[in-house]
Amino acid sequence: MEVLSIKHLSKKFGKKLKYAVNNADLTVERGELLALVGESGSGKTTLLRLVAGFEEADKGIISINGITVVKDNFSMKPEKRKIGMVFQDYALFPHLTVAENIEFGLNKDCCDDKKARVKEILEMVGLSGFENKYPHILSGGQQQRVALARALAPKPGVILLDEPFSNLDAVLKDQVREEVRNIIKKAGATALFVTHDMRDALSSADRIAILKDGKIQQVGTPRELYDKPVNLYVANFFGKINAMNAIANKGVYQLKSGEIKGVNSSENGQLLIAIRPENVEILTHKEENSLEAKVLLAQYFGDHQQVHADIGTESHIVIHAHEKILFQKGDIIYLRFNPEKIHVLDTCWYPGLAK
Amino acid sequence: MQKEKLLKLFKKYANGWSIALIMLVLLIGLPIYTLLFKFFDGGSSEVWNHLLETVLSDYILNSIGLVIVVSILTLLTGISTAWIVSTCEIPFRKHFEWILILPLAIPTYIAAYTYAGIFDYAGPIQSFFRNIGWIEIAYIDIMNFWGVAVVMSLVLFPYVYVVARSSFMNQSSTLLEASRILGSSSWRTFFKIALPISRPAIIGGVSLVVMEVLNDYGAVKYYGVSTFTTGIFRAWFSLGDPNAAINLSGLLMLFILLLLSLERWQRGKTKFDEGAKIGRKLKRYQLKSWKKALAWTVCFIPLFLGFIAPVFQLIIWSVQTIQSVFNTDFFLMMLHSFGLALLAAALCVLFSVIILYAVKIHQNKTFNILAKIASLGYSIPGAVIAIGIMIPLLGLDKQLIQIWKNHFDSNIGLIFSSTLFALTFAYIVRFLTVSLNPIEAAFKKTGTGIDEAAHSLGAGSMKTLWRINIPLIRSALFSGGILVFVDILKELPLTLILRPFNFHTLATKAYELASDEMVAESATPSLIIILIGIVPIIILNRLMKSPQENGSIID
Repeated sequence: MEVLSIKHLSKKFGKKLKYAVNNADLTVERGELLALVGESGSGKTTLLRLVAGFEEADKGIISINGITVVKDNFSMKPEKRKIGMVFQDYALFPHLTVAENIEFGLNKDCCDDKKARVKEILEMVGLSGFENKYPHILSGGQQQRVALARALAPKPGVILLDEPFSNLDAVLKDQVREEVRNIIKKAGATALFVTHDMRDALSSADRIAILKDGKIQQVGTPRELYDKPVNLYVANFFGKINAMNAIANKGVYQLKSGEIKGVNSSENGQLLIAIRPENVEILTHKEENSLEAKVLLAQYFGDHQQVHADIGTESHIVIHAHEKILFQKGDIIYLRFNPEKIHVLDTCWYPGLAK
Repeated sequence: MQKEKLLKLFKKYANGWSIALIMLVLLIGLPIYTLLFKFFDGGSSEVWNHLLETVLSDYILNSIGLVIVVSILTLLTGISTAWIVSTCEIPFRKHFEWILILPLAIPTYIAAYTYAGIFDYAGPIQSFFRNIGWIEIAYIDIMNFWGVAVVMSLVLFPYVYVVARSSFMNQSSTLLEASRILGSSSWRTFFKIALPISRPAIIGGVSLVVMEVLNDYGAVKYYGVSTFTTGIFRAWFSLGDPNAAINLSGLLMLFILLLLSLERWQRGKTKFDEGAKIGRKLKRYQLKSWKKALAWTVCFIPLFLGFIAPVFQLIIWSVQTIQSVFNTDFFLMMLHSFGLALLAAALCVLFSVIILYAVKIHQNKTFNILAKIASLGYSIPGAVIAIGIMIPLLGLDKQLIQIWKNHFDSNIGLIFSSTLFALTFAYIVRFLTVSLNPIEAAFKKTGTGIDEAAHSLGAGSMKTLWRINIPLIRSALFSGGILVFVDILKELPLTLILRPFNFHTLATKAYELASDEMVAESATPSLIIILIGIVPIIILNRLMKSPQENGSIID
């Protein structure tokens, strides 16, 4: 069942030509953790603030738990939307203790016994005994857990997290990501969070939505996005990918120099194909269905080698090789592309969802 | 060993700068020590005993009453306008932001007699009601406690407004958003989050209001309300009893020192800072029609009553009387007034630089405390400082006259007291802080690194000050000087007590004309004071321009 549903949502700031959010569609299922990923300026924070009610949409519909909060000219006030939010700077009230911060959002609708709820939620985030402490004496990680507890305490329909990990140092980050995910799951909450860091999204989200220029490019599980990116932008978000122009014809991709056979594709004609570096095999001798290449650069990283090679296409091919042999500039090698791992990309930014 | 250590300390600290610092602090603190010493010395007299039995309780009750009523009124006005201007979208909001500070340019005594004139029998209000035939309500008497409290509040509320606004603007906008997303209405957000966080700053602002109320002489005297200050004047001039004046001054000073420490204490007690700040623009409330009109009115009324109405009335009066007021004498008086203010302002800047540079060179706690003592004067009412200076200078003059008489058998008259020397000295004592603050901030900004670099290149402390520090803090010297200059032009009670016979400043001239039932004639000097008073407000406004104005909206 969907908890949050966004339809055709658009927002422009002032008289700017560019949309901050452009015709976005998105649903978040009950109990799901969905990450909104994009570069700065992609509109991800604006989208989050539209859901929270801090910005007003130009058009579109937002509903939370079946209740429409935004439609046409109607926009429900933020305080009425029953949303939890964890702010980037946590926004803990500096003059209130931890317990008072958490109690602030509690009312009779949510819990009969406020004190008990505070105790329960503090236990859940592992901060029992911190009730009477003031926020500024807590560490960054602890402050974040208080912010999370405060957002979760009134049992909101959905909780929003704005760059939840950006204020933490690298060492803390890995630990906190895991904690935050566990707490949200334990609370049975539905969450939407914004991040610019792909690793945050991959490690904590159930599904990921990628935004560029206000448009949602693709929504899917991390696996789907990695293996089947709809376009080069999404593909590049997860690290290196080799993209080439090819002409497809009856199971064969014709490249500028040579061809790849045995592809399982029904499409014909001009295509943009892509393959991840680890799906290219390096051979030292010419074999069936391999292409000759010249090593341009080989970098040794301990667990693998990164080899840049030229096969006569527009750009170099990057390969992650695990062979024991160390390649050198100028070596002639042979590359075999795993036909099953070749993926066809859209040549333009794809505005809709990949379903 | 001990001796060596002492010698080392001596070598480190015995230099021109530290000696100058100590001398200056001793001199500037003179009125404070004098009063404390004389007060606890238990000087009593018949007049003092008489005052004690009769009017002292009146003085205390009126002073405390005024402090309380004016504080409440300025808090209500200052906080509501600051909140509206910082969080709501109203027509002309950008202009309101700084125009709301303008009432501060009108000294309380000018506001007092302007309003007295407006509500006078011949004034516009009563004439209007008489003309439409409402004789009964035509007679409105504002010349009382409540009248003076309201009039003072009208021109003093910007002290609260300024600090409240900058505190609201500095609060992370996400705090307010966090409160709303947790289900709070805007009212609950204001009372539970914004106001408590701004409390220390707002109390700081209202304490300035309190100092102004206790300092005021012109307004309360004009409205016939007896306070500590009017009591000091009465004891000094009418009753001619220095002891009574000293005791009253000492009592008032102790009261203020108590208030100051209370304010410090509430600041220290704060268990939180204002929290992390993120450069997101505050999302202002888009108010609906009648709420918008209400918010606008709440901002406009104090502005209208605190600035527009009195200035408009003054302009009318000035136009009517300028021919009889503006003559050669008036022009000369203005020159005197400006010249004296300029001299004292320059000395304030010079002493500030000496004190602060000495502190900077030595980086020593004791020196810091000494500098703080030098800045106590601003919180002490002008009348108190005047008495504190008059007493020792009179004593000194008496000695001099005696010595002169013994040697030359003639009378040289008063050299220090009742001369421009005493007046200049008193201005420096009272207004040194005003120049110390911006210059201290500028010195802090330059840091000690550049001094060390200069010394490593062989420059002595004098050359380092002159060639390196002064050019870097030039604009602070300038604005510090202007602030002192304007404050001196407005100053009334201190000048009234210490001015030489027949010497006038703009302020005393305006006050004297108004007191002599020539309110309309006093309009011209009053307007000049107000116009000049607007200058530091523009400076202040530039200083408090919030960096959040440039925050980006997306991401």
